[in-house]
Amino acid sequence: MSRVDRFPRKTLFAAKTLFAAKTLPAAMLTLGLAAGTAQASGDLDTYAAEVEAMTATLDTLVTEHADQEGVDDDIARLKQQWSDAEYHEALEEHAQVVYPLIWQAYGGLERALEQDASHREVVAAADQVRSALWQGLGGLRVAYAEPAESGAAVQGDAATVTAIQAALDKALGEYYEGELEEANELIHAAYMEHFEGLEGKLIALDPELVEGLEEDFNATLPKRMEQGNDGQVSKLVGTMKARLDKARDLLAGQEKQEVF
Amino acid sequence: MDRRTLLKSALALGLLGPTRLLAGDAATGDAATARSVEELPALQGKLTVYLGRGEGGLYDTLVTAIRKRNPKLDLQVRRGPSASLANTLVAEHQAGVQRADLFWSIDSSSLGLVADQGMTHPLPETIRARIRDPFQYRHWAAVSGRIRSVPYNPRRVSADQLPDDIMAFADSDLKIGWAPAYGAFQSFVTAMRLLEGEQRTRQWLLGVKPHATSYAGEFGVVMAVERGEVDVGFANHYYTLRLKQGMPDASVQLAFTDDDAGCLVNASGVALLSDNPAAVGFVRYLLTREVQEYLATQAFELPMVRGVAMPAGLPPMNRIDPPEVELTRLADLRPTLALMRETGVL
Repeated sequence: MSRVDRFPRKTLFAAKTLFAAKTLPAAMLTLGLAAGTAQASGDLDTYAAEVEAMTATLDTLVTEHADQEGVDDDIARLKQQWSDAEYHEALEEHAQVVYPLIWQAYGGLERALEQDASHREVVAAADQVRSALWQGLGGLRVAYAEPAESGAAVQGDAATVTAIQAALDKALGEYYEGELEEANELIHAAYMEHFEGLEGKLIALDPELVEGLEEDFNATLPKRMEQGNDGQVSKLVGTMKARLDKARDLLAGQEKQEVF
Repeated sequence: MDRRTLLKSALALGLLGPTRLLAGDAATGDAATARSVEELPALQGKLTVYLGRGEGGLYDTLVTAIRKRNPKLDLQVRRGPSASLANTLVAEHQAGVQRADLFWSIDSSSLGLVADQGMTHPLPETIRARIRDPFQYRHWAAVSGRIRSVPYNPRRVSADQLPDDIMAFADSDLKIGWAPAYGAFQSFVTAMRLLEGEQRTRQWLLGVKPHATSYAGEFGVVMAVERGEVDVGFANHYYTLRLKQGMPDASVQLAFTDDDAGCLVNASGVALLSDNPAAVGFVRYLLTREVQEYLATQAFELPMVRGVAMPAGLPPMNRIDPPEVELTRLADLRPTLALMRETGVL
């Protein structure tokens, strides 16, 4: 029986997919919370509580080991917590790459205790377990965040133009709030992620229109916002939206070329 | 430089019809040229694609077409800026999560970031063999490309007057249009920095600056050339081709320098992130003759599969001599921006 088999578990997971990263960036631990569904957030709260309970057991184990007390009860409690945890099942299903790292870390701790390793080595082994547990939680947070867009939600040209106009309105709102950086990010994103997808078709239809919008997005509007003349900024946003209306009309008359 | 040759007046737009990617076609035979979609098996099962935006509308059309042709394929698409999706993939990988089967990106540097993490699966040799040399990478498939070019106004300057060496523009008396704040221009300067070194790039920037006019974007550069505000410009090739599509008499033609950053070819591409058979199948669809022709005719992109016609108005690829640059290194913009700021270009 291998060392990891001595812990109860629901499924044996092949460890061949182990990857090199041993520690999780701190930022990862918070990634995805906001974007997860309500159900997933609830589950994550449960998993976080379970991880906290296991790390508390680890803390007790380390303290008692420092005091040269027996730690068999702590190990038994840890096994039970891990065995019963919903977190454990979730890892098996959603974070399969990180899952074996936890087994590996547990094995290391058990080995250190069996071999009467120094206190420093036991502390290091316990830290590995703690780190792997939190890493697993981070993995679940990522797994629950921002599910992939599904199905046939492909944006047409008209909807893209509307999205650009909405982004301009939002940027104007940020500007009025004094959030110049946010406003510029919205303008830049609207241009790079939406307008550039349309400009190829538009250039052949009305090159001056595209040239004007390129300049508005990349130079004139950011500059006017920086200068802080509210009247000029709102007037320019209005002009851009009118130009985009024209773009929508031009694109509406275009024949669609089939790929296959 | 003696070895350099400029593709000049013979390449005037409109004089050349659709041309062929000759490199490799004759040598490799039919087995290595583009397949028709009719030859491909239907895709089925679940497939998750992370799709980096850039040619947004166009790629959406491709996704829709592939979906329509493969009704049993459960295709999930997550869209976002290429760099942002690459960072997400790396974060997911570090957290032990695997959601994406494919990463399809407009930006080769984002593909490089993902490949550097060891997250990609090697492409099957049968796929690589269809891609034009030298774009046969092990960890991602080049899908289409764009090339840096020198649009010029033939009423103001003849092709013979143009240097065939990008570095020589700094010593010329040409009036030049450029867009230093534009991402494509910054990638071009990055390529120059990698190829020529920091000092020569600094000198080039300082040399061009006194006779350059800045524009907000590279389409603006092409329009300025057409109006005769400047003699020449630096821009990706497709702006000029698109303009000529709508205005065949526009007073702008394309020239290319030789074996330097001035004719850098950058590529979009796709990387396999899992061994899902549908992922490899999806890549095969992107490399079909139909998809490649669509990209060439609708977006004037350079098709990356052998045997597919180049966009009208471009010379055959075997007559263009782009420099050898590791495309994934073009993401290293920080030293470039520092240099551009130091010289007052930005």
